[in-house]
Amino acid sequence: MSKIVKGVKKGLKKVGKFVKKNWKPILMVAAVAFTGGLATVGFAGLQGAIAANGILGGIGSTMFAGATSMLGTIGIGSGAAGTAAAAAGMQGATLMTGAAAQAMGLASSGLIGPPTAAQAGSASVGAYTGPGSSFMGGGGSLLGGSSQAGQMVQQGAGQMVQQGAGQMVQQGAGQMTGGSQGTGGGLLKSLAPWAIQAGGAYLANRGQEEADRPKGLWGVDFNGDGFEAYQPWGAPNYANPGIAAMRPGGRMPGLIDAWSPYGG
Amino acid sequence: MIQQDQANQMPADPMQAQPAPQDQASLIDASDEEQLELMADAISDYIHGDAREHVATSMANAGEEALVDTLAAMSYQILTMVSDQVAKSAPETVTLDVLLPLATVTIDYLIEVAEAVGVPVPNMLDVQEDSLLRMIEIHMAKVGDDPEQKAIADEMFKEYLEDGSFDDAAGYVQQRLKDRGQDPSVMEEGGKELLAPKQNQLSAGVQQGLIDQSGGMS
Repeated sequence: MSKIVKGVKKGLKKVGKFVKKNWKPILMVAAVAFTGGLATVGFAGLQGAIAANGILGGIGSTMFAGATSMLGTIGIGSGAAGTAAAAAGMQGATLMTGAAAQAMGLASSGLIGPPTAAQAGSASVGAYTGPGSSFMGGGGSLLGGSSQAGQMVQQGAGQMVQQGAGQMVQQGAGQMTGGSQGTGGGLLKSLAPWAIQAGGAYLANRGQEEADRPKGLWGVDFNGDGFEAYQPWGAPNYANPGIAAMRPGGRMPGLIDAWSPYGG
Repeated sequence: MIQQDQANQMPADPMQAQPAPQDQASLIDASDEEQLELMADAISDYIHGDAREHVATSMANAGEEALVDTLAAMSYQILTMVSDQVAKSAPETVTLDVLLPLATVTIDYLIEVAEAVGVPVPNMLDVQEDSLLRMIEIHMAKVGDDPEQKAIADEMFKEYLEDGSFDDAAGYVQQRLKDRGQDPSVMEEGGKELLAPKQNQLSAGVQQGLIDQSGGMS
């Protein structure tokens, strides 16, 4: 899980031609806003800023708030970062330590508190219940790192609640429910060639000890035999027909959930 | 309103043939970019293959109004699937630096489907930006309470401030706000407000009263 954020910059530099030119600055913005927001104002702050100023304006506000908070701890100031520092009256404030900044309520999202805009809420226009909800869970993966990872419910005005495993439901104006049952298997199979290669490279890079482990990556039989049985969608035990794409327990039909020799 | 599930129309999931394994040397030498290409191909196959009907229906239902939110939610779920599966075999690979680039192609593939079913995408760059940034919001909702994540983010953000990445990103946002006809000062004003939320007059009055009272008693 510690890898989730680490290496963003390195990776962004390494992506080279893979990322189209118009996407590159947006990626940088996303990485900066994510890290800055997470480090300082938190989700409530980001959500409130977006509700008040739109997505791009909210992201910009979050970046600015992050820089202003952080500059108290690192004491730099040039360009836009300098602008943020100057605006906060903190340019050159190298004496302020992280602890001091927190004591001032600058770096603690708890002290900053959710802005009123967050309470007003950002309308979730068009809700989506999509495929592969069970994949929301899963420790150790980038997007499923939380112990409670999995169920994300965005209801109406600006609330995002995480609980349980495996469901993502956004309820707003015009909810779409999607049943791509079995598509998880489809993606898994699509990923199979990559996984074989990546797994091979990974093993090769991890030394003899790991290379000696069984080669059956994930312990998966890609033919699908002997693993989780497929259950047709719309089975009668679905509690809510609107989220019939999700099975009780959050498992995705077609998802191969095999024992892994790596404990993964 | 919850619409009827369209799941029952999903096609069977045909088995895809696995290619012959590459020799070990080529695997070791495979660049990050090549690995990204392979993963992107897999996602493309999924979106334009098994999931096509579902994606098309969802995009058509979303329309222009809900396009960004739908793109963000779908992309996030697809990337979650990818990361969860890949993490089992190559956990070192599952990092933001891999998934952010993948998010760009995922969003592009989904937009292709949206356009194919007649959803208007009047300003492509706006849609791309907003979709990715909305996805960041979703992701932050998920990891926001994790202290380990927060500590790492703190470290990374400091680097961005020091090496000029922050300035580049902030400059881009400012320019794009201008392009969209928005006041770029919203960044600064919004940022200040985030750090020091305006007190309402009642709470400010109560607070001042308490200060006065404690001062008077001492």
